[in-house]
Amino acid sequence: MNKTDILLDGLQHQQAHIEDEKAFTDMVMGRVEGVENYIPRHDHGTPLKRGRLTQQNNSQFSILNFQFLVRVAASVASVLLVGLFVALRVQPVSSTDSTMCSLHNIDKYRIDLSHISTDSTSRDMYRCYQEAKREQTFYHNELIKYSHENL
Amino acid sequence: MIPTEKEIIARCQQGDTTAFRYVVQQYQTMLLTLGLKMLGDEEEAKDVVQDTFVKAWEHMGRYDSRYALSTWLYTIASRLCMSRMKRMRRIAPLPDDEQVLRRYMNETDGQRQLENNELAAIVRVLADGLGAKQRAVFTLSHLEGLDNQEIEERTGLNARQVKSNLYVARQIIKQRLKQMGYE
Repeated sequence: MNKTDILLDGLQHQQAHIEDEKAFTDMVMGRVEGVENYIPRHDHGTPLKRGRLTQQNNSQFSILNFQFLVRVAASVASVLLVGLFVALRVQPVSSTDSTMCSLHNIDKYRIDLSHISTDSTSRDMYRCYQEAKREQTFYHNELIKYSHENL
Repeated sequence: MIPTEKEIIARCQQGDTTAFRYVVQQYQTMLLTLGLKMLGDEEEAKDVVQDTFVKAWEHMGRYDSRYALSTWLYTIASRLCMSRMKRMRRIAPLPDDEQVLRRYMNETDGQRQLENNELAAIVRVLADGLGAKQRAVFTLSHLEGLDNQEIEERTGLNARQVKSNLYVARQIIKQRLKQMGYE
């Protein structure tokens, strides 16, 4: 047997002592019978009746519930804060990047105009053609301007 | 003539407080010992003993006579200790606690009857850093001598939980004692 085993074996045979067994039994029975002589440890010596003891238990329960709700609220708040932090960490796009972005997307706006003729009888079709052409010209000019400035 | 346990229980179930007083006298030391070993705090242990008897009195009608009364009380106390441990979160050893353990271990026989505060001090040193379940299964297994099946019944934990918590607790305690110079 090593020292640890001796220790644990020794502890297994240990028994608690109750100095005044009768007083302790009376205290337990006091609680059991709801007699006022029970002084709960956490109540700083205020004698309690059985009814008040129930109230105390209920209030403990509400406190526990409240603590639980506070913990849940704190968790939700921290998740939201982390989300907000991450969102703020995303850098806003600079104007140059924005232009580049638009220039890169120029294809998106380029419309195949080959099938639309200027003598189209449809006014809407014609307006659409004009708009598309204007837009294309605008991005074309932007591209040239950007190239001059940066390349 | 001394009444049998069955007769005492029957009287308790009819609301006889004198019979219940006999039950309290009979089992208060057993439950205080359990509380002290599980919680490492005499006052907390006394509270648990009181709560156990109050609960037992309130639920006397539900007592299943197939089991021994001591087993039933022991189960109530174990579970109350566990819920109290969860609330206490951690047993923190006091500055002199380690000295108490060293003194006890240096005694050749290791069988000296300890005072309540000494027993609590040793429990605090051993249980430091253990979770509630680990502490509970370790106490019931090593300090109370219960087998795994009995621990499952007393704590409501399943076999796997008992086994794994016991393993972890043993490792932690072994390591701590090793650091203190004991193998």
